[in-house]
Amino acid sequence: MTFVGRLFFFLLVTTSAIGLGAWSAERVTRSFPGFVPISAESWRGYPGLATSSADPYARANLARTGKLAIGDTEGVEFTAITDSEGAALRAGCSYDVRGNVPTNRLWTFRIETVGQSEDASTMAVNFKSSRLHARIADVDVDLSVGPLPAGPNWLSTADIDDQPVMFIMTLYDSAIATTASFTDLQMPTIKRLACIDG
Amino acid sequence: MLFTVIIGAVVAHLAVIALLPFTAPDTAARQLQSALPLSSAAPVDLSAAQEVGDVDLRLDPAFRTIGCQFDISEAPFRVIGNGRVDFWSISILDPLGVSVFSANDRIAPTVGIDLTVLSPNQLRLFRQAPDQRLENSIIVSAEDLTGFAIIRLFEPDESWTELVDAFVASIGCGAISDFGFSS
Repeated sequence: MTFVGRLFFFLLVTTSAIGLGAWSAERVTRSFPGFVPISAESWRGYPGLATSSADPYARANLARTGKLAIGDTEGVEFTAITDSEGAALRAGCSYDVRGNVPTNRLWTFRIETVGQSEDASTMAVNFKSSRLHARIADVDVDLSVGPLPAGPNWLSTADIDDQPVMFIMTLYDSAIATTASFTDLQMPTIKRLACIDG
Repeated sequence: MLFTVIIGAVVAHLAVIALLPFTAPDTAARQLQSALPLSSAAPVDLSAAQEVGDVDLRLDPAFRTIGCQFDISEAPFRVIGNGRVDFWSISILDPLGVSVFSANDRIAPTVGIDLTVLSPNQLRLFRQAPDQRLENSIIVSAEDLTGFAIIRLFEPDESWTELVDAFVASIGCGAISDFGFSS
């Protein structure tokens, strides 16, 4: 092979390798939130996300989202993007979020729109917390989420356009954030009831 | 040839993943860097900054989040604050936004916030001659000379706003000499 031929070969191999590697990294970090250390129902939790113990993919995803994660001793955050059947959560649907959660001092539940975090104005700030949650049934969490009023603990999505959303549940001062035992992890079931378009 | 490309692609992929926390344009650390003035200045209400779109840190709306930036190359950094809230927590971040220490009101020895960040060298000097005024302060040793302190105050609804505002007003961040501690 001539020198020019070898040079061409070398450039072809390196550019395609770097291109392929960078492209796949870009794709993966856009949606892959990292290897999930704990999960229950459709919830995924990342204790230690803010610390140096987080896996490189989780850190890369966090860097891209610009999110300020909470520390271990502060609490642990769980996110869900699907209901118990595996269908994507939508602002136009009603959901029952019901069940027990690991021991905590307080919890908060909020809704964020998915994939539009670069535009802060589209982000929902609708939230509930354990302090404003009427405990009627014998479960820790009994929320109704959706565009139409329902139940004693209703979190409205009426002001959000029908689009994919993410439920974020944060347990503050929870032992789950600092202990290694994640067996018997209980999180509420997200049950879809109805959608505005039927 | 295909094999070489695949190996090269894997290396490039892993390199990009590892570099993203340093190079991504809107990391939490970069946003904090521009939103927070250096220590000795007043703490910044990040929740308010988020509301007007100055930062997009995806903060928990049930909390008032306050931030300070520090530089302990000259003197240790101390953060104090007092008031009545249902829950508060604090996190010390390194320059990349990685949490090196966090605490909440249950594990703190005082009702309010009192935390001092020292470099390993300053910590050694402090151990040799402890200052009584810091006896209730949470002592945090930081490897990096710069970083951020993030304070979170629980604000379940508007009825708490006044109490949370008072707590926020009491928060002070600064080099330790500002608090009357001389070496």
